[in-house]
Amino acid sequence: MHPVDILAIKEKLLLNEFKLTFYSLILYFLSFLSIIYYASDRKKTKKFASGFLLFTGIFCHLSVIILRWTVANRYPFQTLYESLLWFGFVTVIVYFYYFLKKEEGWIGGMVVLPVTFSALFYAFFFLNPVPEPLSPALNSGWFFYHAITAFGSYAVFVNNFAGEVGRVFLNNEGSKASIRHFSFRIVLLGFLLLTFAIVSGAVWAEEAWGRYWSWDPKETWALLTWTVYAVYIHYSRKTLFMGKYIFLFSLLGFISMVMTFLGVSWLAKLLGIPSLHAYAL
Amino acid sequence: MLYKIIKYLYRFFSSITLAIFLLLFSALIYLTGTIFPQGVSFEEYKKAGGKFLSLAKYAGALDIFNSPLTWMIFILLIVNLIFCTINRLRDTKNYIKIISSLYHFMLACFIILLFISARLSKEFEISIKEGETKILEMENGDKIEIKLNGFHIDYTEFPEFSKLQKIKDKLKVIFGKESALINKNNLDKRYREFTADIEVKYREDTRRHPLRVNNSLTFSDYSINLFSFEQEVKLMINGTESIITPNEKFALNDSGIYKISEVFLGNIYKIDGSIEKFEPQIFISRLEKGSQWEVITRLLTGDYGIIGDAKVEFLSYTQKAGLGVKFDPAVRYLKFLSFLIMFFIFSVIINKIRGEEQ
Repeated sequence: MHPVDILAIKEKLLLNEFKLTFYSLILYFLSFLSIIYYASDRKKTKKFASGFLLFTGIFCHLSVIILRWTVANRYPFQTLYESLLWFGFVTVIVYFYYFLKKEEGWIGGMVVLPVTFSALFYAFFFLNPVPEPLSPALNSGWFFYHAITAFGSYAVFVNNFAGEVGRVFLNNEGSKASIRHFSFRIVLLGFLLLTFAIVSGAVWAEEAWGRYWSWDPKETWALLTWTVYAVYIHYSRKTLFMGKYIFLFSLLGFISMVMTFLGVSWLAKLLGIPSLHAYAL
Repeated sequence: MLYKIIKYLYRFFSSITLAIFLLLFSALIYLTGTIFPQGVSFEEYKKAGGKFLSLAKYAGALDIFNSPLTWMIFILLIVNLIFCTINRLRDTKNYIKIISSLYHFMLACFIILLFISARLSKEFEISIKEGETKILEMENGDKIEIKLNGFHIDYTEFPEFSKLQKIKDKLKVIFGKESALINKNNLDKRYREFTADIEVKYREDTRRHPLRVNNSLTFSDYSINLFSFEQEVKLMINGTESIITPNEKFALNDSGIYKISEVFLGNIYKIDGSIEKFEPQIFISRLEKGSQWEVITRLLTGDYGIIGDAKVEFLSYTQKAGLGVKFDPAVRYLKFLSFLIMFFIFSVIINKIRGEEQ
């Protein structure tokens, strides 16, 4: 088939992808509303309805990711548009597991679903969806492992923060303990993923730029996030999960994670600090 | 008395509280390092209208990662990690604790190796013309011969999806936000990839390598990477030869300010699968009112144009590659240790997650 015909097919697929993004946006909003409704009396039918809406949203979102992967013919997390779609997807997948497995899983949805909705909303209405060819700077075997572990850790940290917010608002001690264990377990997973993202990033930087560490704003913020979560883990263990600053460290970790993901570009522009990660801004 | 002091010191250095404080301090240092520009002198920072001047002057915030405070925190962290390792090893029945102690010890070794790497590594930047050979003589007696055989640029054309763009334009109308507009330049934008074809002679070994981003050359304790390129254009202006670098301002007979806004050459990989080759061509721009540069002419090699009253001829074009040469004897151990740490962290965390589940 001629490359121009392939391009026409790709455009059709992209238009469908764009529609599906909009459907998942609506479905996430509806599932958020239904979870609020479920929280009022916790009836199983309502949980089923919320879960079904969420599942349909995830299904549409998964189709978006697959279509993007196919059309772009590379991993779908190069531009900010794609990164936000991917981040939203991984975040909601982790939450869905939480929602299904735990009785009090609904409370995490109060944070996770608005975060996912905002990411998709911003990408859909304000960012350029046109897929670009693979940038030479990202043309490396490390790209996949580095990006997938970094986004995995971000998704997990959002869920940890959601759990910690839930702990503040819940009164039931049993539910608090259950959320506490879940939050701690997923933060361990996030810490592992972030460690791998930093290590793989350093090895990749050595190959690409001849330096494994440059104290670039993105690198430094990633290390800052890693350090804050190291504090969170050590503090939680030391105080047997009863410390009064656990929520504070979770909040700080969440803020530094958002800064690493999105805020660094803004800060670098604001303060005029050059960044080697300019292609990701 | 001595026993009590030793016991106190042992408890102090092996405590998690100390680890938490040190980690928080290091987090503060990283934060400072991203707020203040690094490696800038205080005078330059002040001249540029920098804020928090007293912090920049007295706390060494402009070079925070090399400040004595940072070194002190890291040394304390190493001591803390070693004491934590010893503390964990006391309970040898628990295998998770043994693995955990091992990775804490490795982290301490990793930070020590980072110090060694920072002290022993040497970095050079060399600028080399096509066909030129440069010899680097290192302090340790090593001799590296680098020859640039060629330098070329490849462009990748971007696909155009007009229907999708139309939809986005409509959304822009609905929300009335300028940022919703697709940057039209995106469609004209092309990725440029630079490749320096180099030949390196080190001891008895000669290697040829296409150097580009993500494809550096590593041998022994050395690595060579391509970090920049320089272009020089030879023009004949009213019978006088001048060498001008792109984006450098120059004057002609009239009162206008000119620059070579773009030098274009190389291969374009087109969407339809074809490859187009471009001979060197330059675009000369003039500064117009409102600080806007306007392209006024395009010249191919050997072409001439009349700009104002001046005759400008494009004689030739040369390009240089900026290479970074790095000597770091610690980097291979750092790589090995980092993967070992990853493995141990993985084992500990998976065990902890399973433990929490039970």
